[in-house]
Amino acid sequence: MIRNPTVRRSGRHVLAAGALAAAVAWIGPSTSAQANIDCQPHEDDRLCIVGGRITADMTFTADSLWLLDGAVFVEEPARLTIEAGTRIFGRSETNGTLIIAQGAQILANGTAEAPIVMSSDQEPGERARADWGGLIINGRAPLNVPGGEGEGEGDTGIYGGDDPDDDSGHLYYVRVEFAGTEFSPDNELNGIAFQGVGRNTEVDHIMVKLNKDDGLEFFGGTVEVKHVICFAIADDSFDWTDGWQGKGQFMIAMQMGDDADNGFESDNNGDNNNLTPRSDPTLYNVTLIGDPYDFPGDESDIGMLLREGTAATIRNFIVTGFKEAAIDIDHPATFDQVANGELTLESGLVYGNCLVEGCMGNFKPDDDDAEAAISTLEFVTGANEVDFIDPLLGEPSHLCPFCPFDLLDPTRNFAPRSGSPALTGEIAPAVPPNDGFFEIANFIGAVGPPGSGQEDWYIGWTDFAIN
Amino acid sequence: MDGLRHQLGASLIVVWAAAGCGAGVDDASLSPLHNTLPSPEALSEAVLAALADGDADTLASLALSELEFRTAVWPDLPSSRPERGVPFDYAWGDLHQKSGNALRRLLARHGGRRYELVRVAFEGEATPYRTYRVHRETVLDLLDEDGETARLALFGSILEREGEFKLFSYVVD
Repeated sequence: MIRNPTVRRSGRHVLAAGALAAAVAWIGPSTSAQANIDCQPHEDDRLCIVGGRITADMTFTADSLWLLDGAVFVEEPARLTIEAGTRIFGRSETNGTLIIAQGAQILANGTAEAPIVMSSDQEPGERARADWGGLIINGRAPLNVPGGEGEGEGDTGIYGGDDPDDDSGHLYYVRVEFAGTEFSPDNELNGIAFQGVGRNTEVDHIMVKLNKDDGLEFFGGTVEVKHVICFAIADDSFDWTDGWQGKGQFMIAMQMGDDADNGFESDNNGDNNNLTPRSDPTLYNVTLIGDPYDFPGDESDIGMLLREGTAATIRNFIVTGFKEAAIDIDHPATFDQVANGELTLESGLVYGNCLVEGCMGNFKPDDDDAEAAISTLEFVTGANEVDFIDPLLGEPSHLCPFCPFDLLDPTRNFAPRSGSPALTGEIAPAVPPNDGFFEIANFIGAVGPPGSGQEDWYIGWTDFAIN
Repeated sequence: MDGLRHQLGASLIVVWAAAGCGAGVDDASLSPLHNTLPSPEALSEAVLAALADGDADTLASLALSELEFRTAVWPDLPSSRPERGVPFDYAWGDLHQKSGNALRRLLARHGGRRYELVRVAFEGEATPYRTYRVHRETVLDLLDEDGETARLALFGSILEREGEFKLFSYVVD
């Protein structure tokens, strides 16, 4: 049965991961419809081990450490409230994973001063990608998978439906770190999987760091996200497929070449590129930063890979540092979206990509380009207010002249430097729609100049430690 | 507590070593795998031949079936342990859906094309399980019909058991 936390205590220190996991005997998955929750004192903290299925409202309080033991499902009609400053750990031995099922809600109430952290149960310094599962949210918003429902990423159940206004709760100031373990070979988990999630779900200030699979993946749905960072993700930083029709603003991807794929991997539907509702997100103020040279590895492929018939509206973007190409369009159905004006770019800076030997060019000419009425190169160079000059991001690095940051320095500065064309108006920014979601942002990229109100949104609640 | 964990870890290593990662398993107890090939190269050749013919059924048969996954693979995967709380139907259903989607993509992209295999390589690790081993991130060095070389990832991992090889899935992530 659920035993809500009652013990309060003041001081706390970092979870003594392995010792913590071993400190309390595993209590096994529930055979009933309720979660197993066992709270015990642990050093200066109180540790609550959670397993099974949560079917009634409950709260993860900030006065306890919460250890996810195996796959933990929150099931309709339950709402899981998470207090600001709460620390949640996925138990590595049992692949702890948090799954919000259709009709259930997660109410994650982090703040800039007290973010919610979902992390590895290993000691700092020993943490790594794939220490635990991650966060999966299943909603009832439309997909273009025939029938409108599909098996969830990582075997989490059914998602998708006919309610674009579906509400799975909210995520405010949440970090998901060191996740992405697998349920089987060839089936790793995303940091946060938004699966058929509806637009009444609010997502603002989230970070996914060091995930083994994609950082954020959108399987259909209409969810809208704002102030998002994906850092050192081993697969794609942002991935959408199966008809995502949401919005995004202030999105940063920063990759490490030890293991990374694309900044955007953007699909409509792999079986039939023209299924509807078509993937067609509207994205403003995006900064995609690849890892341009061979240290610490030779990965970090394409800034924006647009394929399988996706449409999209992408404005005020920076793409820099990718090894294979800046932007690549694949499949005739995607070029059709270009031709009919449903896939558009405007107001962007593309610079410092394709610097390694063997790269075919910023726009990766291939068979699809040869057969298309408008090639990727023509598409990008013909876009309004897109140029190929240095965005002058952050501080120069000692590693390379093009690296905007020192990849091993745990501090990050994503703000363009003074005089950057991202700020000066040399490249005219596009004006976001006045639709209640987008904010005024008169600059290129995800971070604005001092006084813009968007100059430091990524500071304070984030963390860039790599282990 | 750490000492106990280390002792436990050492014991597990001894058990694993004694088992020889499948070497100690009685062959007669192994659930059958069908349509296996004797090497990664032979398996890759079979995939390329079926791909050239656009033969979806043959391609599907070269990857694990639900029965094979259930009886020969799942019991040895860590996710099957009760404490992980992952139902088999979820694990198989998701992998099968993703593999099917990847196979359709593969056929759409490369079906009807003839490639000559030069070399099979694995960019990922080989993971040992109790009765089998999984070679991850398969890539093929190929010659296309124009004699041009290409390195392509056409399918996912390869499962190896007792000298037999079969595709784990078509998922290329």
